[in-house]
Amino acid sequence: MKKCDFIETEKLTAYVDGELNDKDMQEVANHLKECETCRVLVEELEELSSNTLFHYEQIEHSFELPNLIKDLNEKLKNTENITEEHTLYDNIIEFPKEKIKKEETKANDNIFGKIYRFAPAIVSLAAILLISIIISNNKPNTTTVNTQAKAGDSVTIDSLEYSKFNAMIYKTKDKNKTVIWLFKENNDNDDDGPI
Amino acid sequence: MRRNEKGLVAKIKVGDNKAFEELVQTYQKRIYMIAYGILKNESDAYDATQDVFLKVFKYIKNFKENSSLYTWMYKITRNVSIDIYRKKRNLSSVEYGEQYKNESIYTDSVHHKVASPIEQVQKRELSVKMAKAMNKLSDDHKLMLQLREFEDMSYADIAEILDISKGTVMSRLHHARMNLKKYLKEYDN
Ligand SMILES: [Zn+2]
Repeated sequence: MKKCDFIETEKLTAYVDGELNDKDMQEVANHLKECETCRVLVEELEELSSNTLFHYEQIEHSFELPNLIKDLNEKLKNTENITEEHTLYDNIIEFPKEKIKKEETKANDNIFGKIYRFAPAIVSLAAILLISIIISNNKPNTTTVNTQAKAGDSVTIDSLEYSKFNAMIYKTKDKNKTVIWLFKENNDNDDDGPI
Repeated sequence: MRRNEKGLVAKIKVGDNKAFEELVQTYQKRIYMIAYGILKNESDAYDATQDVFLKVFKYIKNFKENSSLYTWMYKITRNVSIDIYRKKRNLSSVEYGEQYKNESIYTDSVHHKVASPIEQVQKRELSVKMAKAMNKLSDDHKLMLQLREFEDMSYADIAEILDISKGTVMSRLHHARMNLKKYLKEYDN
């Protein structure tokens, strides 16, 4: 078969994928009518495509991940097992304020279940922060604290308290974000203040 | 966007656990296969897959819907996998080499199905041929084919994930296919 130098062969790949612009698609189509070499290559590329798909489908059908959802739920629930290092912002889920207010009106247990499951990975971080955050017994609506996790970073916290956990809306000066984190209330530490 | 994807995202954003589980069901194998392509180890790929979904769960609120969900997820998958790979390599290169050799030892988390005998006979030849040829490809070329043929991604999506130009996608994909063609021919002879 004759070698063809009318067209860059890469264009044939893009043609097979329908990834050329209209003008180039037309140009290749016209060329294919006249050039057997390119026509054969296009057919081969198309066959390769479908065989590659077949190959990956075979792999896909050869295994199952039967426990993944269970394992994921386990990880999402079990906050004590989180050992990886976290940065402060890495662990904070953005949470619209309106949402929190809405949740506030519902029963405590219900909120606990919902939000706790929604944001469990941050609990361990919050526990670390708890060490350095003064939570007064008066349960103030707003208090300014410094966190150890990001030294010198001034944050404003609106604290919401429930029987099983605390939720906080968190703002920093430089990052104009409203976020929330949650943690189980630890009665032993209540009066200890910062360590 | 795939069917239902928009609805899924919207539901997960408001904390719908069922929707999250559906997302996991839909994408778990695909994520796992991408991770496996990078890590070449089942238990690492499984860990990576979990990490990806934990991150998706955590950050879906930040997901801007101007790129598709799977493009976003595959970006995370690549980053997570490369992260795990680097960590392991730094931890102990010897140990990692050992694991690499033992990749045929299945972990408990991954269940391997066996096809029926008839299916096996029908598909064996093409499967074996393809598997052998695919194995000869470089990781870059394999990933390229996987994203294009299996994930059905556009050049633009692939370019975004791999942070390369569309032109590079075209030429890399072309080389991947030409190499595959060559290796398949070698197998026939
Ligand atoms: Zn030609």
